[in-house]
Order: sequence, then structure tokens, then C-alpha cells
Amino acid sequence: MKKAVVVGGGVGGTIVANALARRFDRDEVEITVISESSKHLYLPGLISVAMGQHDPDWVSKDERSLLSGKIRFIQSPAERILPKESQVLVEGNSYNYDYLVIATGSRLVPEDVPGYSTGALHFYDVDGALKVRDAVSSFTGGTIVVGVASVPYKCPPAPLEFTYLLDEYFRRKGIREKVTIEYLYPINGVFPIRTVEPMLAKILEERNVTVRTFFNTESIDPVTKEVTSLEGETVKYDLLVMVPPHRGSKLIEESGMGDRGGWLATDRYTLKVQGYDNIYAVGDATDIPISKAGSTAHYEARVVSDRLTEELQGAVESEKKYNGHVFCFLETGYGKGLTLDFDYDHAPKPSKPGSIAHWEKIILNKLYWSTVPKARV
Amino acid sequence: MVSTVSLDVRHIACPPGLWVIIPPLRQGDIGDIVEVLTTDPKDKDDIAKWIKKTGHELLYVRCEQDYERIAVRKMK
Repeated sequence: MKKAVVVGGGVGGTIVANALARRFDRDEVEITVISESSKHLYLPGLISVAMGQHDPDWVSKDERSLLSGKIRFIQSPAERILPKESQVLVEGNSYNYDYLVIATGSRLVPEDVPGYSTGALHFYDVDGALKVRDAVSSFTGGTIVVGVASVPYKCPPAPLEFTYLLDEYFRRKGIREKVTIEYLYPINGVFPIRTVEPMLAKILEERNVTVRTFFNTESIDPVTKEVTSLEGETVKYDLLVMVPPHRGSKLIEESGMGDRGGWLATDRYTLKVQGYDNIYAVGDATDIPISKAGSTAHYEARVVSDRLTEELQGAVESEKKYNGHVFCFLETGYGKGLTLDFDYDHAPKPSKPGSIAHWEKIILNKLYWSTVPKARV
Repeated sequence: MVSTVSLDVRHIACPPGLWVIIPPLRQGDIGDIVEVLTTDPKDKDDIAKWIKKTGHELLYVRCEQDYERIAVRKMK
């Protein structure tokens, strides 16, 4: 019997495992998911938690409940991957595999920026989102700075969406004139996709948001409430909400498989980890120069599960390729949003924000748990 | 030890070249060389503006058949 091991219980790993479970019986392929957490997080929902629109319970479910009964679930941190032995070590046990899928996502490393832990808040996990919610709801006036500590980070639209929603929140509260909002971004623009960046920058201007570009955060002084960039600028704040630095998972680093950032060298079409014929990577864990987003992991996972199906059935090498497809919603506030749909060969076309995309996002939020991780779409 | 990294963002809509060279230049050692292969005509100006602010050195911009090679040396 063949053995497929998936490390990581986020969207990418869960889809791969469930898709394989649909295609193989228990006596054909043994499928194991190893995940550090018992919970599966719906990360796009965290902004809603930070803005007080949803309770935190809404963004997580037990991973076991999302996995097919055919799948063995090991809830424990994987300690090391031994590619030469085709083994994953977990708490003194070793799990052998014929095929391994690494879906370990990215890791938040606030410690990479001096002063971050006491000076900044973020909405990239549940605790952080709740702190942002409390800080925003009790904010009565002053300067809120929204920024990105460094690149890459997951969900590129998130800081921009948060900024638009902040503007709406304080206008509805009737105190927008007392709140200065400043937006800091690491590159030359407010967003990494050139075809839509001018339109998104214009919305910030219309909403009276101050923008500083080329701002890669070097340090934060929580006493003087100042954030300083690598480029030599210093900005004062009363409340700082900043996307924390990201790295690949510790497992990748400790297995000696990643680059300096802990990302896996991955073929952008086959999604195989370079140098290994029987190891795939999906989602944030890869070094592919593409958005680290849930939809990226979703579409990559469908390709990997198709490739693995063929290879588990005896094909030497599947012809299935990932085309770089990414699909993101971007909320612009006031019940409007837009979608960004692109791949390696086609940049997204700018579209005017409208209510349809906003409602589509709400529908996805409602349908996510019953469709996406279960590999039904 | 000085290392050279080459990154390929040719024909990719997102992210731009500057986005991919920032991490190795932040995490690397002084003297490291980071090269990006790009088809985005705006990358050259963005990278030039950024290294002027950060003090790194633009080593070369080479025009290949349908793309550019831009290399930066980490200076601090």
C-alpha cells in the first residue's frame, strides 16, 4: 500500500488530503495529515474579527471535523523531515511516505523587528485580531498608522482592506476628523499589482489617508511611539497596526530544506520541491514569486492532488501544471469591493469597486467550511 | 561568505521585482549579490530609487532579448 503524508492542516494541506481520500480507498493509499494545531483557521475572516464584525469562533473549526474519515490525523508538531529516508519525525515516531506534501504555511516572526511585540498590533491571528478590535473600538482620536513590516507576507490586500475599513468605521462613528490615518508600504506603490495599484491609491487619497511608500520597517520605539524604516524615515503614531514579518515554518528550517527566509525552492509549474521527486509544496511554504494567499494554496492544492493521484496510480510524471491562478477579494469599505483574478500570464484587470464583489465575499465566508477545505470546489 | 541569488519574475503580474529582492538583501550578508530577471519595465526605476534610499549598490542593468537582468550588491 502506498503512503501519502501531508504536513500542515491549513487550506492547502486539507484540500490535498481530502481530494486524495475521495479518489482512493483505505487499502490503496494510506493518507496521513500531521498538523501542529487541532484547529483550522479561516484567515480571511480575521479582518472581520478585528473590525468587530464577527466573533472569533467564526474563523476556526476542528481540523479533524474537516477531514475525511479515511484520513489519519496526527495533531502534533512535526520535528523534522528526512528526505533521504522518506520519513517525517513526530514526537519520537517516524512516519514513512512514498509522497510528501509540505503545506506548513508561513510563520509570524514579530521578534525580527525590535520593539514590535510591545509597540505594534496585528490581525494575523485570533489573539491579535481581538487586540486590534479592542484598540480600534476604544480609539477616540489621534494617528493610526497601518503598515507592513517586511515582504513577503500573506494576503497582500489585507493591510489595504483594513485601512479602507478603518476609514469607514470612524466616519460612521462620526469622529473621522479626529483620526489621522497613515498607510506605509514597502515598495513604490500601495499594492504589488501594477494594473490595479493606481486605482487603489486613488481611493486612499479620496478617503484622506496619508501614504508613505518605500517604507520597510526597521524598528519600533514603543516609548516614543515612533516607527523607523530601513530607508531612514520615522513616523509617529498613537496606534500602530502592522503586518508582522513572516518566515517559512521552523520545520523547513530545522530540516535544512529552505532558503534564508525558510521558504522551499519549488518548481512554479509542477509544485515539486526542487531536488526531490516525491515531495510537493503548496501555499505559503513555497518560494514561488506569487501572492501568498488562501486562493493560491487552494488552486495549487488541486493541481498537486491531481498530480499525486496520477503518480500514485503509477504514472512516472503527471502532465498537470499550476498556471499561477490567484483569486482575491479586496474590500474597499461602504459595502463595496472588487475581485482580483490573475495567473502567470494574465494580470488582473482593474475594475471599479461595487457591491457584487462585497456580497460574493460574504457568500464565500458562509460557504467556506462546507466547500473549500473539503475539496468540493 | 558572499553569495549570489538570482530570482526570476519574468512574465509574472505580481509581485514586482523590488518585492522579491528586498528579503535577500535584508537577510543576507554584506557583499551578497541579488539579481532579478524581469519583464516589467518599471522595475529598473523602482529598484534604482530604493537602493538610493538604502545605500546598496546597483551593479548592472543588462538588456537581454526580451527581459532585463538587474543586479544589486548589499552594502550595509
